[in-house]
Amino acid sequence: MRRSLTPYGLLRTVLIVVAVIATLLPVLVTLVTSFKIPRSIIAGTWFSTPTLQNYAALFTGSGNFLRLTGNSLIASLGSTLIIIVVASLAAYSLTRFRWPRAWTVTVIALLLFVQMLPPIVFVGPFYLISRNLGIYDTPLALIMAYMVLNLPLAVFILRNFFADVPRELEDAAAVDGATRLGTFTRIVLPITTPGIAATGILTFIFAWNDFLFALSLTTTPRGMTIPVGVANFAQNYQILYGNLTASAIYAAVPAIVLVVFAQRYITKGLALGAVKG
Amino acid sequence: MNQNHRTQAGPRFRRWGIALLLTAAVCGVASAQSQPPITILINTSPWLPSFKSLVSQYEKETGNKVNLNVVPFSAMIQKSLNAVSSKTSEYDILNLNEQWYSQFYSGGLVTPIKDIDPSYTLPKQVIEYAYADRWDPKVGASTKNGEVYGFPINGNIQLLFYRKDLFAKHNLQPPKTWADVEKDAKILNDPPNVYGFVTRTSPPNYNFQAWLHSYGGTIISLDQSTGTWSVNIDNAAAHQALDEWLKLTWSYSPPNYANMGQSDEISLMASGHLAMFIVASAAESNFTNPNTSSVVGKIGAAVTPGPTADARAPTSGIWVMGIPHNLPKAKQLAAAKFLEWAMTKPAELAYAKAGGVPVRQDVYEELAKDPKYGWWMQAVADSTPYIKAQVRIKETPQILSVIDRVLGQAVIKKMTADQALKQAATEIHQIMVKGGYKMAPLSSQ
Amino acid sequence: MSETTPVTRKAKRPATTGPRGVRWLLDAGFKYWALAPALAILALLTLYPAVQLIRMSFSSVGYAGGHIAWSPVGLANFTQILGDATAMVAFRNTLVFVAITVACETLLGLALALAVSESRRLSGFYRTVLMLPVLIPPIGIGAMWLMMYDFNYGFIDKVLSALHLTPQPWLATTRLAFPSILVVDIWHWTSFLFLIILAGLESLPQDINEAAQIDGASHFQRLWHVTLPLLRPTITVAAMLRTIFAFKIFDEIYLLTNGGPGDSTQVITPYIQQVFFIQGRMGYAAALAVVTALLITIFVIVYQRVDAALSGQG
Repeated sequence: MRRSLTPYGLLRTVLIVVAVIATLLPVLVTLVTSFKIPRSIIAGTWFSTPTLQNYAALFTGSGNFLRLTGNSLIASLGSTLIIIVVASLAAYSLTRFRWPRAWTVTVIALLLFVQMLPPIVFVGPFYLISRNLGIYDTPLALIMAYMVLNLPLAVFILRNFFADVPRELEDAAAVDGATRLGTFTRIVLPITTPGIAATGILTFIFAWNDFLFALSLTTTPRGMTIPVGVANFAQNYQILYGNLTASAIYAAVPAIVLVVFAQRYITKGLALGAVKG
Repeated sequence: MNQNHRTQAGPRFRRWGIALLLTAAVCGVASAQSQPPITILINTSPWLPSFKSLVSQYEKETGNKVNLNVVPFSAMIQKSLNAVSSKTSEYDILNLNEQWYSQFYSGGLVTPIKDIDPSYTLPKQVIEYAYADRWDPKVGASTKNGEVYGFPINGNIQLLFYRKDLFAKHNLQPPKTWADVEKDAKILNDPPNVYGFVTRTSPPNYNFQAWLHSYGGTIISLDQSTGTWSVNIDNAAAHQALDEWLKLTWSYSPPNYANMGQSDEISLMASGHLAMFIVASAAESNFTNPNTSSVVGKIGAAVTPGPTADARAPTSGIWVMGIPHNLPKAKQLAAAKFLEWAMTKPAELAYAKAGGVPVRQDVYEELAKDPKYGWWMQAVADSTPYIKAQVRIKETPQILSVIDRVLGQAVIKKMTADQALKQAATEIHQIMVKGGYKMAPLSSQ
Repeated sequence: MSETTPVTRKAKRPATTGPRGVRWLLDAGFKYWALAPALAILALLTLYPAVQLIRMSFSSVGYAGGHIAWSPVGLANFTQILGDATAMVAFRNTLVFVAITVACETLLGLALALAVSESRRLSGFYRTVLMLPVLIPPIGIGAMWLMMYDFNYGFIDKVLSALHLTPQPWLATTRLAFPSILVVDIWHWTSFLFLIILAGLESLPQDINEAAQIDGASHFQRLWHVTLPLLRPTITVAAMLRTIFAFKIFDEIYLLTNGGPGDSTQVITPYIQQVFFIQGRMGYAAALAVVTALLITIFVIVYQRVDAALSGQG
């Protein structure tokens, strides 16, 4: 309590409060809009009798959102798990072992280059590959695409966190006779949990929100994901605001659940204790 | 004994025989109509539900299976291109928009019907929208002599929608000329409750063409006798059209006139804040649905105005259905059979009654008398003689983006109208020269 | 980036030595097979498209007779960019957009991460709320802000009218449209920076900080001399990644202004999409994409240099 009365503490509180309000306001406006009839939305009235029709439209008729959610979950979770494993190993290898300088520079450059390419570069080739492999219009095609989309990002962020792991821990483990893999899983990973949690959240979210690849690699609700369903409401003749806002809120919910769950891991405490004493 | 023999073998033989005959008959009938299942690529739109009912009717009548792949509008061109670039197209019918179908016609990406079903001719009653369904590879344009490459499925043309209750209140008739539009807009303009008139500025090219063509102007034109193209966007007619369009844009619109998209202007009308505007006929469903419209029953439709009552020019913005080139013959035939069926009068009538925008003149004339549809179908029926085409060459999207850009600059007054058209003419001329067309020299105004 | 020295293996070898079995192989070659999957995935899936892109940028690619036809044109696609008014404006707008948004988002993200990491109560609530924006699909963000900004039924203008102030056409004048889009992007992506920097903050070893506190350093001194230098790599990585993404912004612009009014909000990625798919000029679009990648590379190199310079100081 005493802390918050210092000028620094006051500044901190004001900043957080303003940020929270600014963040929540558009979300609340969207939430309220999602319960309005389209007629009231475009008429700009403040209040109108709330309706569930916008949400109902997601699941009935051609909404198919349950199916889309399933696909989104499979594609996002699947690609995130693969990426976490592959990127952690790669980041660990790059930061903790001796590599020729030229090699690390090349690998970093390659990762960056892939990240820099506009995604449309991959649309055509991935379309052909997925059709040839028979995974077109299924979440598997999307897992393939998301691995490419998010792997460089994951490696970059994780490199950063792995580099911060204190040397002494690993040396201690080596003295105790642990294998390299054992050191990795039992010593290093627990310390880098905040970084892995953050990376996992981000790769999940980028996969969850991806539109371009979902659009190109799927064509029926068998493979389509939530963003495609959302885009179906932004039509040429009318943007169906009611359905669009309802689907945007709906699309955010699983991601929120994940973040609430995972943000617990982005906390101090795991880093302490390991080095002391 | 003999009788016994007969009761066993005879009737059994007869039963088998009858069964065989029946089977053969059924197979015979079925094989005449039965086709492999086909897949159609289509986008979410106001006419999707009616298209779905058209499809289920086809399935009921013929027993053939049709699958619909429904995707967002923004995905249509990408998915169509992907499909025709692969070894075998995943779709058997593509829905192509007027603004990009030329790419498919000229690239040979869809097969003309003559190569699939040589005996077929398009019924006379099908409106061809200035030959949007045809393509002449020699000339590189949609002309009367071209082969049929695509079937019109969505007969969108521009109409003038107006608040007939407000017009009645002020004793006004729906305007026939641009001068009438100005007069009526001025009377009805009552911001911020009701705005007199809006134009579509985001993007503007389609809306602007209603004015351009009404003054007799065109963006480009082809002299078929010499095979020479000319760029006309800098002519007197175009200048008059742009001046009028800009005047209407600036005078009676809300302050966000510079970013008025199609959805925005439809929302303005549906929420009761707009007196009249020009938009494609497919917008009508937004005004009759109490879920989206605050002005149900108050909207009327008329033919788009012109400088004089005879010089109107509703511009087409249709969709055609094409059959990809990279399909086995059996699939192409199945797709063709569906399209041919869809062009018949009963099919089109049912399509229109389910909410679609039909393409047969006789259907429009029949439904124009119908109280439920007549309010807008009469206007469409009346518009048919005036229909003008958009630019239809392979470079159309490039040309239209030039128009969009210069018009946008003119709307925000970063360029004068004269500068805008001059710039457009220069750039479009360059585009076409680069495309290898025989060009008449740009006349300097 | 922090330089690392290899782990020295002078200690007793693990029990897996002796019979040179698979386990030994896995252990000795750990550094190779740990990196291999990542490289394999990337090589398999990205090499071909990347090469295709570069080839396309030097060719004229289009459809003819049902096939994709290539014809080499040398540097023509690239020189065409200079004469393309829309492309030049798009590049200029994109660079300004990226510079402003990344700077604002990094500062805000940093400030919020520092503030939230020190809060005890409601910490979980703050973190969840401040991460919200990046969880919503971009097309949802576009729709959301369309409903905030719309002149006729948008929230902001309704509030202004209710307060008897003049409602503004936020997305419809050249003066207001670009800043309005900046606000949307900052609202959207600050949470990205916030998330990464917060994770970085939470992984910092606390002993140095505590030692400084014991030594009597003020809050601000600790921040400037201890926390920030340790955070620098994280901030750099996050800002660099955000920069790369910022070049690719598409959905929000498409829904909100579609590049208008005029071309005040025209940015490069929607233009590349339009040229590639709608105009069908694949070679030219590829050239635009290559130039965009080169611009991003310049930014990345600048980040690396600045980071190296700062690490030399610290």
